Amino acid sequence: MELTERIRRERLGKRAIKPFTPSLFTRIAGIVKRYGLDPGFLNMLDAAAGPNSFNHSLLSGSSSKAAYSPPLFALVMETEYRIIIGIMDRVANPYLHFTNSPDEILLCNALFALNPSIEPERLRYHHFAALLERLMSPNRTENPPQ
Amino acid sequence: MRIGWGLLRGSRLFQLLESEIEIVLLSDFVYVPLLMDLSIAEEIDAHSNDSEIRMGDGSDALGEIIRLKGACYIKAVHLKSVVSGLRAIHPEYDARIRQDLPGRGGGDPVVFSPPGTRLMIILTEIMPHFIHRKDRMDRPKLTGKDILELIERRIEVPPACRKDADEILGEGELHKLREGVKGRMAECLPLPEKPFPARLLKEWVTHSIQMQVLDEEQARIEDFRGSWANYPWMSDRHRAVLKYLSDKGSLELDGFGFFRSGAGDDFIVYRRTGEYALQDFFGRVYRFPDCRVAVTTFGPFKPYVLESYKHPFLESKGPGQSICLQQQGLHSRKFSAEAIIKALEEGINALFHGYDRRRRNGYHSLDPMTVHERSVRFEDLRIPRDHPDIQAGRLEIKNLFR
Repeated sequence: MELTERIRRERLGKRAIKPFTPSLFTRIAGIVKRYGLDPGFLNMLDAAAGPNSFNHSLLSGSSSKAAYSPPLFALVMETEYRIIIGIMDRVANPYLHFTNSPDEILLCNALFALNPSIEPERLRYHHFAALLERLMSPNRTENPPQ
Repeated sequence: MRIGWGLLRGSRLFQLLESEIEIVLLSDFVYVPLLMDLSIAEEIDAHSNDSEIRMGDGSDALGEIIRLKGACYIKAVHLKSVVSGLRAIHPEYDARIRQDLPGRGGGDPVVFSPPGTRLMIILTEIMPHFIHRKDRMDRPKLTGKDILELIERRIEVPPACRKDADEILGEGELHKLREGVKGRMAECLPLPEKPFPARLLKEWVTHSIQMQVLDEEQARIEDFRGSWANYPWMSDRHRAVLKYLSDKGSLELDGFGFFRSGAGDDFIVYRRTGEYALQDFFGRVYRFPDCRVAVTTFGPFKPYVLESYKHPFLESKGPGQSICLQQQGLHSRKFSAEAIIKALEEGINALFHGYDRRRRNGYHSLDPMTVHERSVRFEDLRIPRDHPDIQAGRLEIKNLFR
């Protein structure tokens, strides 16, 4: 009885519709197209490679997360493709999946270097600048920024 | 790997031609930049060697993709298809290019419209059937030549129309235009054998469409010159009348007329009914006003009324209604003088003699019996049976014997 129940549940689970999630490439392609990023952005990314080498002026900007829904698929020109691949190569950490804007891409490496285990929910709803500020502040608490 | 085709579908073709996107021309094919994603990039990397593919050889590892200076381009569409596709997808653009043809003062076609074959058939075969000599009944039927001479007597042909055949056909002017466009095309070609902005292709496409229009015009003139062999009697006098009619596009003579529909050689041919009368079941008389029964030369060859008109054989009161005929759907599908004559005669006969006062046939009856027949009423057309026009023979009751 248990075996048949388990098989039935497994089958039901297989049949369930899984929500479609755009790939990382598609997400980054959407940002590149939306903000018209050029190869100069890769140089900025190189400059912000270290945990403390990012441009601190990014932290003083708006801490609200930019609204962004990635396209379902992306086909890009070759120059844009190179930029996307460049970003994916330079920012090889899972936080890239939660970026919504170029600013967040620039802060991604620094944030990951400071704390590689931030919960996906916080990454999804809080701007990386706000998270980074919270991590870098001397009287740091575990509460997420409001 | 068919992304290139998708890019060039529909209005995207126009967007491409107005953009700065770099394209490549190879063996008369337009190659557009290959759009990339991870899987396409993997496929490209798996198949291509790193060497650049030489221009002009037309073959490569992937067949439809070339790599130039590190960028990939995919074969999209043939140049001829760009030209024909743009004309089909954007007829308004095609019309604008026609309007912009150099040396042209607007209107259609390009140089001068030689009277088309349909106009010739109307004048030489249809008109003689409907226009009769008034002086003597025993004289033979009018011919096409007689009709043109009759028109010449009735209307004033402007001196500008009195030219010789070559001038009328406008071949000299057309030749000059063709040479001019050819020169401009040569300036665009050869297109650079390297990536270039797509907007440069638009200029060449524009000239190509202009050249096609001029080629069509040349073919039309040659066709028409050939058709003149059928009219050995035609002199410059007749040609002047033809040119005048072709330019003006309309004529009405003795109750028969035609006017051009659209820009080409299509016309609407009509015959006036004049005033006539019909009687109902009780012998009451209804006076019907004049109307034009018309047929188009582009089909279907069904008679209809041009004006707003009511009649038992018309469904409502509006203009352009088809006349109800006994043999609906048996109309000829090919243009000919016989088809037009038959349709006009059938239409007029139906209006004059089709209504049977005892059977009350048609969509409506003159004396409606049921409420359903009362959407179109004819009481306002009723006149006394001893009306002076009937007494004097100016108004004929057409269905006296039905």
